[in-house]
Amino acid sequence: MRKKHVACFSLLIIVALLFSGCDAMITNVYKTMNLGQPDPEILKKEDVSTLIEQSGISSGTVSDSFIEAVISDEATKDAIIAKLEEVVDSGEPEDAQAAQALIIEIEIADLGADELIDSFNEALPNLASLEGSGNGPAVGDIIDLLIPQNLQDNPEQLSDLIDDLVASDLDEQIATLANLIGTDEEGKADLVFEGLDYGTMAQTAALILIVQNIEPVDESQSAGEAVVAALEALQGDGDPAAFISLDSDTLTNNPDLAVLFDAAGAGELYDSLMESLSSSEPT
Amino acid sequence: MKRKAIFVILLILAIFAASAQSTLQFSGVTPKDARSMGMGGTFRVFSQGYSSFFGNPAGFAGANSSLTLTDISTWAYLAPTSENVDRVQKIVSGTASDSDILSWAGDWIVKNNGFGAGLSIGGGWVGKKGIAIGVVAASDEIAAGNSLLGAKLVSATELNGIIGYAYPFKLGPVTLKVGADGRAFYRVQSSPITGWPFSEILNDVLAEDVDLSSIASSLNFYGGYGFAADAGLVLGLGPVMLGFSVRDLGLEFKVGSFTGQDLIDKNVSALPIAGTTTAALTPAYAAGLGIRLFENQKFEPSIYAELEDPQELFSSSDIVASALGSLHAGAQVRVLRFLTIRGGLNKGWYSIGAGLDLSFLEIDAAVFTEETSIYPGDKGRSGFSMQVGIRFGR
Repeated sequence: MRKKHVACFSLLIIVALLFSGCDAMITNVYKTMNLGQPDPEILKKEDVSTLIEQSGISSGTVSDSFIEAVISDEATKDAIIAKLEEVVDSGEPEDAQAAQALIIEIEIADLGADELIDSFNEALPNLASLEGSGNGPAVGDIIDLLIPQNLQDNPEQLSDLIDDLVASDLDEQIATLANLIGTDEEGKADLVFEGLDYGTMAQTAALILIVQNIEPVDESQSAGEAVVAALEALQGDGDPAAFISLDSDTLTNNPDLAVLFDAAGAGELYDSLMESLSSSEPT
Repeated sequence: MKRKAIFVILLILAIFAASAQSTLQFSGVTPKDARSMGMGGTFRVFSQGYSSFFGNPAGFAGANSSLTLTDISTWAYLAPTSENVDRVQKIVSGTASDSDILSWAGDWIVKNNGFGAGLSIGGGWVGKKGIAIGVVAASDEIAAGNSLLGAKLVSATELNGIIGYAYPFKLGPVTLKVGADGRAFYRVQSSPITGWPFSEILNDVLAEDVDLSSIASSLNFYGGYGFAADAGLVLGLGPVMLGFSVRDLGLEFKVGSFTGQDLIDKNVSALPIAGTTTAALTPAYAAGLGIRLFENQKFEPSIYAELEDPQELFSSSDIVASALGSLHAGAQVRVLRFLTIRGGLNKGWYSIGAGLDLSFLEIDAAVFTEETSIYPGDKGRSGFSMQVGIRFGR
């Protein structure tokens, strides 16, 4: 009888253990103690194939720890990017694409935009389903969806981040990646390899090009300042379109995005996304 | 005894000689059973009884025999937080909108580094003299990627019929248990690298006029049968144990292609018997150190540390990082011969679990996080596991 009670009590504990929430448990002791993490000095000496393998870029999930180690100091970043660029210029097509995708990931993280990209990756599925009055979703709704709350709460950081993204050469890096994929006679993505995550590459490229095609209404403002002003307007029932507009023609006519989405097998999503963006209300 | 030793050694040598390289590489489908997952993913090298059918065959050489009528493990790659429980309830009850489901799926893929579920069902007999016969089926389905759009759903299912043998050698105070098993298996698998485009499947499922036939037709599988073997040894000195195991040593086998729709139309006869594509299992090695005290007493603590693929350390440029990135550590305390509390570090991630052993009924549960990157703490995937077994003996 006593054993039965202990058993029932234990069973209750097991169930409670499973469903009482376990956020505190989702912690890595080694990471907290900085054990087993990639060493920038060792990474600098690795050959390109090891770098690509350790980054995870060819297996579909990019290692945040690897990227953090690469951008931890300028010399490491420069040395590794130089090695990757050699492969982009003269390596086998699959390695060249992986190297170029890794360069883009490193540059994004170096700008501090990785959080924005992650947020976008989560939000994109909802973008096509945004509803607006009449012609489609308002630009303010798009921005509200894409920019994570903590960046919305830190306007100075957000403004700098957007300005850095606008000033970056990431559009050229995306074009290089699209060229490496190439197109066949029917205009479809040509060299598509297993293991590379074209879906995320396409989404990342979409966000970068969206940001780079934001136009401040007030020309004295930077794009970052205008987005921050638009967000403030959005929060105060104002009109964000009084501060920013989207150069949707440049965006929808960009051939690189089409190649990347096609490589991801997401041509329909691309069409839906472009339709959604081109019909977004300026006001 | 000499003849038995020679037989075991020859069997192991034959298994090593049989391992080969091939075109398609399939990883093993290992049950994420609550006992192992509660102890940080250990208990593979020092498995005992039924667990040795997917652990170390040397564990068949136990002092007691056991008959497992059925052992069912189910696991989900979803952190059991109150938020996730609420989301799942809404999906099941049909109150979640399509937009909610897409958003949550994206959230689980990005923040939990993937989500999915698995199931294993099996049974078997492990005799006192180290002979073991069993059947284990396991299936593992994971959607993972850097984003919902880039996510791939990888599916792997394997049915195994297993015959094993282990023998304990006594060398003074040292005990050496050596074991091996042979398996006939049938494997059904999506492409292990490209998987299936998860966002497309999800969108199709959520579409207003769902075309199940179209979805099933788009799911391409490989299927085929083969033979594999596992081997291992455990060296014991008092309560201290050193062990090594290798699993999924196999000859190349042929797989054929079929679709989900073929399976619906033709049932089991859709499964290819003579395919043309060559495939092979990827061997998995493990080495470990364990201490098991007061065995079969009212207070029975044990502690384990196991390294995955220890041979990789020799070629690593950063041995410490590689060792920590493949280290599983765990402990359990069994009290009053029926209640077990477990805890562990799975490549640095905490795990906890508990189990009840009520005569012939065993219930175990665990909450775990496992690493999906080569660096500890980089990409943890959380989940929970439940296990129910009807077993006579240990």
